[in-house]
Amino acid sequence: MHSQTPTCGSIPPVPARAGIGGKPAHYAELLAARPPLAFVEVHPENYMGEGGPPHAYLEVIAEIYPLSFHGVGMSLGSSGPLDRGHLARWRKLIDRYEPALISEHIAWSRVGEVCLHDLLPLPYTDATLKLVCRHVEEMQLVLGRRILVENPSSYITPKDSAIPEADFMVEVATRTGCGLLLDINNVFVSATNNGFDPRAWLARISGHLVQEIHLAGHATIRSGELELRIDDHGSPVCDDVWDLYRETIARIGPRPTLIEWDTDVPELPVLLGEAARADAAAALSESPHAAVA
Amino acid sequence: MLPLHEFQAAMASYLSSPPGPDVSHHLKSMMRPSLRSVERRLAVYKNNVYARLVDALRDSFPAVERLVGEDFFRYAAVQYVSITPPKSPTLLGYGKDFARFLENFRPRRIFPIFPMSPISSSVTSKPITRQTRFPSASSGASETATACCCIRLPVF
Repeated sequence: MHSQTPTCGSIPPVPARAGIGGKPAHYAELLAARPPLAFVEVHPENYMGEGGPPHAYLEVIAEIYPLSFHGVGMSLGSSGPLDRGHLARWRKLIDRYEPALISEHIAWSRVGEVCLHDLLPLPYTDATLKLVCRHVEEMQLVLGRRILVENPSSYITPKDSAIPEADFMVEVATRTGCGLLLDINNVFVSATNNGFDPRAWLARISGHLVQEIHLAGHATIRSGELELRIDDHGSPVCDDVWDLYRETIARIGPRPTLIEWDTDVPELPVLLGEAARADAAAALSESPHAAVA
Repeated sequence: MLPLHEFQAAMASYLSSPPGPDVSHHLKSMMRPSLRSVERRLAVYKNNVYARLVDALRDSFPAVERLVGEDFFRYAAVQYVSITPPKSPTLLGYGKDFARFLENFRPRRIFPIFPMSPISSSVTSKPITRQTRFPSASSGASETATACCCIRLPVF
């Protein structure tokens, strides 16, 4: 059992309702209209420069909405050590903005000094479990905060993977005290691409570990005889993913839920429409008449 | 069982090489054989890497892209990415020497209107940005180039 899990007692918990990604194209409208949102999520890597405008916007957003920092570059699954400079940049941002939620991925992107800027598949073994736990513990120690780790979308399965992905995630959280960010679109994409049952995957996740949910759209491509789901975050959430979301929150209860739309980003009202749909599902899951999954 | 660093080195070598369908037998042997079309599956990751980095260069050099055209720019950018992969988990500053690379880029000699003077860029003074399909806010703030998703911009 983890010995110390950093807490953020002075930061209020995020309501179990929907948030959206912070896009500069929407900032002016967001600030003017101030729609009800549980949180706004950004990639901290976008705020690690010295430039003024990104921070000027983020500071105003932070006065209105709780922030969620969702990292993409920590490479928790790299065989080598974590990038200490990147950890330091993270810490500086945490101290400045005190985000309510902090998250990263069960994936890797760096080999030596080369950063590949994608979330690459990790073989799930006892050795990689220990490695990821060490890296999660180090990140939590340096940031002084509990983090959440997200399940990746995948297009291939390494031959050496011996631990089911859901069990791997639960074990990382159990050993380190981190939480889980459950990306339900990623579960569906990975399940379809790799031939497993998304419901069986979700059933293995202990609900109390889940602190945030991501919902997103994906594309379907055909390459020769192969049909693949591509996690492009470029469309509305599909019906299959909405079904899995409703079933999941019926079982574990509602959670802060991000509508993740990063490609072909639509006008703000479209994002807010998706957020409203997630909120409606959350309200229904809390209703005394809600069906038990 | 293969040591993790060997698996990651083999993936990185494949992902850093210029776009193309070839996957070494060594890398193929590291993937679950019951899944069909290992090459096409791995190609999704390579396309993702290249599309994201080429997109970052497009955002930093919009004037150059307009000058040489989208196709040539993409071709040159892909070559640049394959020989100069990023060394930072942020994309701030990526492409600092892209201008110098273009000046020495061999195919340029058959492109008659390409300027002979050094190509200016603003990459050293501002963060790498990613243009979304929708205009950024009127103040000029624009988003930097990271997102945990596939970019739907096929490079090959």
